[in-house]
Amino acid sequence: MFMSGLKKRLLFISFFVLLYLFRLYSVQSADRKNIPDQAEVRIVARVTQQPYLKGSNQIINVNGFLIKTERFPTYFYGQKLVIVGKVKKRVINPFQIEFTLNYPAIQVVEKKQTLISKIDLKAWLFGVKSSLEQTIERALPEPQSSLLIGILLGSKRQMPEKFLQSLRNTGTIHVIVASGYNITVIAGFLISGLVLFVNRRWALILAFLGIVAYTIMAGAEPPIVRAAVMGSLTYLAQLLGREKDAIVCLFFAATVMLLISPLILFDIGFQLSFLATAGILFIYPLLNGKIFKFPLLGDELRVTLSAQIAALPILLFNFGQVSFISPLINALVLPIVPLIMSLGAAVVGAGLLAKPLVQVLGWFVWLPLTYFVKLIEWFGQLPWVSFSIGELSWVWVAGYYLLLSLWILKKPRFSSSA
Amino acid sequence: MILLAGLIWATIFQLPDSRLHLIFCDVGQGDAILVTHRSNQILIDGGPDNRVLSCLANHMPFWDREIELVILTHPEADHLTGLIDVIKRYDITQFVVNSVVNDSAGFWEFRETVLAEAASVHSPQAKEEIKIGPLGFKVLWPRHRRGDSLVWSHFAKASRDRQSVLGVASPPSDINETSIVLQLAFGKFNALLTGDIGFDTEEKLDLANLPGIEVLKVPHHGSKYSSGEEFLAKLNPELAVISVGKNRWGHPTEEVLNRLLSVGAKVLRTDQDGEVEIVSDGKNWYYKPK
Repeated sequence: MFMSGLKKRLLFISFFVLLYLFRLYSVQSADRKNIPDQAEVRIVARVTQQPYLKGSNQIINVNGFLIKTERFPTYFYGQKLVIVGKVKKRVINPFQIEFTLNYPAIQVVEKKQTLISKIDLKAWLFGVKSSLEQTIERALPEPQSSLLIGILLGSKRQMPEKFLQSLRNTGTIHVIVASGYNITVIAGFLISGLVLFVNRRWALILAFLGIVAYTIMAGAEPPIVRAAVMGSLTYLAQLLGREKDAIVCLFFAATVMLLISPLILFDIGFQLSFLATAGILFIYPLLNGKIFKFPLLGDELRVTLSAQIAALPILLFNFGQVSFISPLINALVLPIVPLIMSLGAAVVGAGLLAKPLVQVLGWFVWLPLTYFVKLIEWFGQLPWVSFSIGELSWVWVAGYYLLLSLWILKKPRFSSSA
Repeated sequence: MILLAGLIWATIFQLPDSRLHLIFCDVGQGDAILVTHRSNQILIDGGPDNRVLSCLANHMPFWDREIELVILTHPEADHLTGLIDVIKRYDITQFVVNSVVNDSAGFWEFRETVLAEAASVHSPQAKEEIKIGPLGFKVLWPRHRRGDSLVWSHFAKASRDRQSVLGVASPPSDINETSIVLQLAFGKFNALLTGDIGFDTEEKLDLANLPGIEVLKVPHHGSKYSSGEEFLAKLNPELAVISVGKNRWGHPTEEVLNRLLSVGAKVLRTDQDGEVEIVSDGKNWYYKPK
């Protein structure tokens, strides 16, 4: 009955890998769309994600098809549409094939979803989200308002193209991707603030409620829910002083998610959430320079840096752009992100409860946002700030993670725990 | 505390001056013209997408969420689409727009946002003057009020019946020629804003009583069917601004550029020069970029 710990673990892991591959295969064979390029199709389906704007176009996701259409009329999540047009096929990787329809004929069949209560809840969540977005849009000028919407709600519905490019150039685009990072920031911020008023247990409970509220605010879209689950589980375990439990929790949560929907392995949001959380668990304890002793900002920087180190190759791999001074820019803007988030939350809160306060609070969040914007715009327009790396080979990514794991394992803290 | 101090400095830094600013926003193929004087803003058209929002943000103090007057010269996508976002985000005091219908998704969305804003809507005609402080907008076109102002009332809202709106105001045959043409006057400084008019309307405009024009907004993004020789000769502008972006009609056309050259006007184009800003104190004026 006795097996060595290592053997047991390997057996355990291979079991899950096999199970995963089986799930991946079954999902793939069930869901594969066998549509040739340039085929005429007629799609009758519901809008599966809230449409967003790109330049003067509107992008709608219907059953895995990307529909590019005019800005108006505006389509909404849950609407049933009949779409007739030509399909353009693009293979991203064997598991991910993108089908696009450019300016097809669209007809709305049903205005609203009333049949299934679960989907109604989702429509309601989107309603909440878009009313929060409107509050921000009415209170702040561009690009400050879309930056706040991005940081707070993780959506880039209306971001000016130029500013989006500056974010890419400076390697700060991740602040507007809803990921585990936002969740960790919220949790950390709430807890460190709340322990001043209530005891630790209550602080944890309230922080947890805060994460739930954030998830709802951000439309409870799958990537955010996943991030919330991973983030809060691990954060709670870590704060309760059980570091190893936290690691187990993270892997457990990720495994369950992958078994439920295997395709999210290829989802950038999933990868970022997982890596950012893992980074905070593994790397955070190893960072102990003098700079992190700086009150308030120091710890913030430490959290940020550990998440960044873990997620960097994924960002580079997917966004194809490297900035030499990205770490510097990040160090300059990220410490104010929690401030922006809390003031921004106050703005949208006031939008729901006390309208006249919105404008005054808006001025206060305008200031740190403007600092962020000006800095990004200034760095973003420098031609030498970033260079496009084209396709980053996966070999580099693998090599990076190999070195990173070696570094983590070599540090005395973890060598004994293996 | 730091935030408060920062805010006070930012406020001082953004206090508007007492001059007129006439800004041709860089919105690609379309028009969006912002006129500001002290804390008043007038926006004429909104361009084809939300790029106008960045222009507003750059030229309005951060605390000002009110635009005193929004003018839509004529209801075509490259002039009205951006206005929809503007109306949703800012408080609009007054609209000036023809009661002309363009049966397109964008127009109906625009109409709904205007109705939701609950501001007053005025359809102008020639010889009227809209005054905002020391700024004057003299209406040169359309000669007579266009359409039925019922278009801008809620009468058809309950049933959302587009047909009933179309009933009171069927779309005109050429929407461009319904463009509202305005002469902006501030002290001795005058500019002519022409929407998308063509030769036809240019000839009918009453230019006899017009003072010297310093700045001309070149009609219809420099289309060759606008900016006739005679029209340009009568106006003789010092500066001609073409609001234009990437397009498939060849705007601005060689013909128009040559005609402008022959009247000796300095030409600035938003596609090459970016945003064009003209500043005047009522006597002297200058423009950026130089």
